[in-house]
Amino acid sequence: MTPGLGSYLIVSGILFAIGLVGVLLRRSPLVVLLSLEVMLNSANLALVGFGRYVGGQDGQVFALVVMGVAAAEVVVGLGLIVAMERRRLVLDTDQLVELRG
Amino acid sequence: MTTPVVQWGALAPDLILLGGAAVLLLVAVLFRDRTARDIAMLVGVGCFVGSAVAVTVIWDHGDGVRAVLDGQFVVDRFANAVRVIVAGSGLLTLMGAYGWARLREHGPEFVAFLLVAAAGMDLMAASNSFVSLFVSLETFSIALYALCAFDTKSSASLESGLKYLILGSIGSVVLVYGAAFLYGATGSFRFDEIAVGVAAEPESLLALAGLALVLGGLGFKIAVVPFHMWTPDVYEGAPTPVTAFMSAATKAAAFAVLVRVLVTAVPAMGDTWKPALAVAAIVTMLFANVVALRQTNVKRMLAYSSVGHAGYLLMALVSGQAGAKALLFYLAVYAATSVGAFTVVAIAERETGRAATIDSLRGWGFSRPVLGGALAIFLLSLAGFPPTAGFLAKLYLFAAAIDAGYTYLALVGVAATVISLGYYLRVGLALYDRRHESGSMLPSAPGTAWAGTCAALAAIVVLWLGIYPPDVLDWAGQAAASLIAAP
Amino acid sequence: MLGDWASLLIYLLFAALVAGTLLFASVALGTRGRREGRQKAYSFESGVSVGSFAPSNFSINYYLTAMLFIVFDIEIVYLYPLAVILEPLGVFGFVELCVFVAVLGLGYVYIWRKGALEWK
Repeated sequence: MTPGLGSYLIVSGILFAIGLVGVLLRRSPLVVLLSLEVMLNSANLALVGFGRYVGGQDGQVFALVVMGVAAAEVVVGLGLIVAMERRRLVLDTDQLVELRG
Repeated sequence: MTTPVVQWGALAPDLILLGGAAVLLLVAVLFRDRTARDIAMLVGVGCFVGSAVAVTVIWDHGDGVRAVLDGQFVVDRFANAVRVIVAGSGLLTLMGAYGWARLREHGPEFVAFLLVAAAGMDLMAASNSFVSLFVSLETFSIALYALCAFDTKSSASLESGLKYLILGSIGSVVLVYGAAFLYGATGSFRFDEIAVGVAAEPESLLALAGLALVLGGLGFKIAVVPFHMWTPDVYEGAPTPVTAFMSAATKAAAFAVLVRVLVTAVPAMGDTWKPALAVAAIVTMLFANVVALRQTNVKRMLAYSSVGHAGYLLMALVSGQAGAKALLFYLAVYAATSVGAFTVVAIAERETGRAATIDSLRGWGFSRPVLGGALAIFLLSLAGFPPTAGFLAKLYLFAAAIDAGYTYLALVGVAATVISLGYYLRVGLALYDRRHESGSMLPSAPGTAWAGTCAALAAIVVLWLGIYPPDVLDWAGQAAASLIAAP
Repeated sequence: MLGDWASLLIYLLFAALVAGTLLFASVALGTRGRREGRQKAYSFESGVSVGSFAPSNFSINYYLTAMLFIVFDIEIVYLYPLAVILEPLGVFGFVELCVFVAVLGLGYVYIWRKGALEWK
């Protein structure tokens, strides 16, 4: 039995929720970036799932694009974390209080 | 399989910017320090001017509407108008940033990021599919994340970069998710094909969820309440020249693509998104302007003001062709005003050596007559006083909303404008506070000559558009007509 | 008119829900409040501190190299779809491939000349 669209969407939704909770609650920026990746990949799963459902390759191509873009985004994020580490800033998102809000 | 066709001419304005960024990487390798910065500035100015010139060349080409790269992009006059606004903001930003100390070390990188961001914005305004929309959105977003953190010696700057990255990425994910849902509902990522699918089945829950997610994702970019929470922090922490560019150009590109999505992809669901946007406009206008009253840091205040202006602009989205015309005029005016205002704030920061607050600006207008005068003009324009362009921009916007049957939106807009007077005038009065008049002219800080020219130029644009707008209005009208047919 | 006000209500509820959920989640599930106080300063059994990220054991070079690796590694993903249809695309596809690799090469020249590849 092959999994249907519903199964893909449910797994994707769960991944999205895990990622969102991680982004909002975890304190280490590294883990926050990890959670962002989980969210992006949940979107990828939804894209590929819909791609199978609709037929055609557009969904898969978009998923590839998202992967590349996500990597670029994470590299910039890691670069910022390295720059902060070089300045010996505390790496804890709760302590990022230089700016209010 | 036929060989894909690439419409080089239609893409030239963006390719010039990207090519310039590539050249600048080599400049960064080959030259050092001030030489590198000066070459980078020349390349940057050349690229922005070249991009704008290329737009004027293709403006009248054919019927002005061309599907590019197999329908992934549509280069019409609307997209071209946004390209001019982005190029203008980039040009002013470069001039304003010239004296910034950080550029002596990393000038080429700064200009390269700026060019890539501008190219991404241009492409986003021309996007005709969610794939190209996402790629161009991320192109400029990633460049902006890096630009926000460009001052790696300042923890506020690094922090604003990281915050923008995290919250911006959430917005992007939501957008992709929405695109996936619309794809599931209609079987395509292209706006014109989505429109067909949605029209066939306007009650589809899948499409509705997709639309809601797409609006949420783009809402992060245009900073609409309740997706605005990153704006004050990022605007305050980012280096001021970056804030200037971000506030002006991002807004233009994001609103342009939002109009395009709403008008070309989901017109059949107008009954759903029009009330939703009208409500978002009301809440954004009132909330942002009320919160701005409490700010003492000028950059933070301008950030909330920018959120408020996003609220006014939402009004244009529900007002049809006249709304699109008013939107473009407003975006052009806002770009000049905002870049100018942030540039003056940057000079004030450089001179006083600390963040610009209402207190630190007290009496500053007397010791700096030109810059103080320019800032006063920008504040009046933001508040919507004649004869500045801000007045006309608001007038056209409200008129378009009333014509489209949204009189209550215009009334709320007027109320929000009255509230906003509270904080714009507070800064204006502080600038010319007699009690803090130092009596002597301050010697200008080194490197502010270009920034001063930028501010003066922006002020002239603001006054010119306010006193003699027909040329630009005609241009905005043509652009709007290329996207939305007259009713 | 009533419809408009209903949507205002829905929007306000939605806005409150977004803001409220975020605030509630970070207060209810977050670890900030609970770990406040002296407990927070104690180390865990194995001596690993509560602090979230302790990179000092690794040289910063690992991160830099890893970052550069990720970005160049992932860009290669775009060569796969191109490889699938390279033959039918003919010369056009090959030129596209060359342009793509040239842009990557430009980035490589930049990081190389800037000394990011040197192990300090």
